[in-house]
Amino acid sequence: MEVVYYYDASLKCCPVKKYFSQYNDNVKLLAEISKKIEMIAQGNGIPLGSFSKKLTGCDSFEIKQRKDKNTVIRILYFLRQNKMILLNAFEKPDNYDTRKEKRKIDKQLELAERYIIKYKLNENLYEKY
Amino acid sequence: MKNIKKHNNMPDVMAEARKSKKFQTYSENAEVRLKFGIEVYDAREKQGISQQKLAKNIHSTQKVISRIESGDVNVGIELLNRIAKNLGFCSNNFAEIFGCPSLVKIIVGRSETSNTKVQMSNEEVGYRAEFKTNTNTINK
Repeated sequence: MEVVYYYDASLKCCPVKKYFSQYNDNVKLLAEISKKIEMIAQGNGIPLGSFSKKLTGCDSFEIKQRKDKNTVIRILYFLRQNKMILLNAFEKPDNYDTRKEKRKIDKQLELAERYIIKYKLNENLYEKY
Repeated sequence: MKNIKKHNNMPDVMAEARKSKKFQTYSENAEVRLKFGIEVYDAREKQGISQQKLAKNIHSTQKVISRIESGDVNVGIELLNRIAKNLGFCSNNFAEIFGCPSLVKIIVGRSETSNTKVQMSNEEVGYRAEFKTNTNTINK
């Protein structure tokens, strides 16, 4: 299965690629994320163990990667015609109770759903991983 | 239509990181942790045990189990032993984690050539015990 970055024409960039760019000096974190993506792609995109799962009520899946003691990175992807498309990535604190935090997370999930729609309309919206 | 595949003005941090010597080492370390996490998760789910219950059985916490299953922590040998015993891991589980050939297959293959009857059981708890028992049988 081929892994690709979703390219957003209005943003003029790939959201996941842009997200990764902040970790240019953290090879360990990138290697761990890369291994998770590779293992999932080898299994045809089917979630593995508890570090990946299908999101309830969405077409997308998520990969979880611990960033630090209190924060997890969530990378959202979806599957289409033998492609694993990396849609969006964001950080989620382990514990949050404010409505503001919850809204932030929901916004990211909504964005991913919007990217899926855009991709389905134009399947050339991707860059090589 | 614009060729998006060629449109690339953002630095590819992941591609750059792959060139680093450390990347391969970190990647291999992550693979073992992830495979162990998957084996723990699959065995636990198969047996219908919650993370909480497993944590209690091995004198640990649910948070630790969660992080092990996500491949986020490096498990010490003692904790690994407790988890393996509790979930009834056999040689096949360890063969899967460490990417080595299954001990069962090796031993059965050897016994066939020497016409020695060896009874193997995947249900045996602890690959070391299983390996020891069967190696002794072959040696006889």
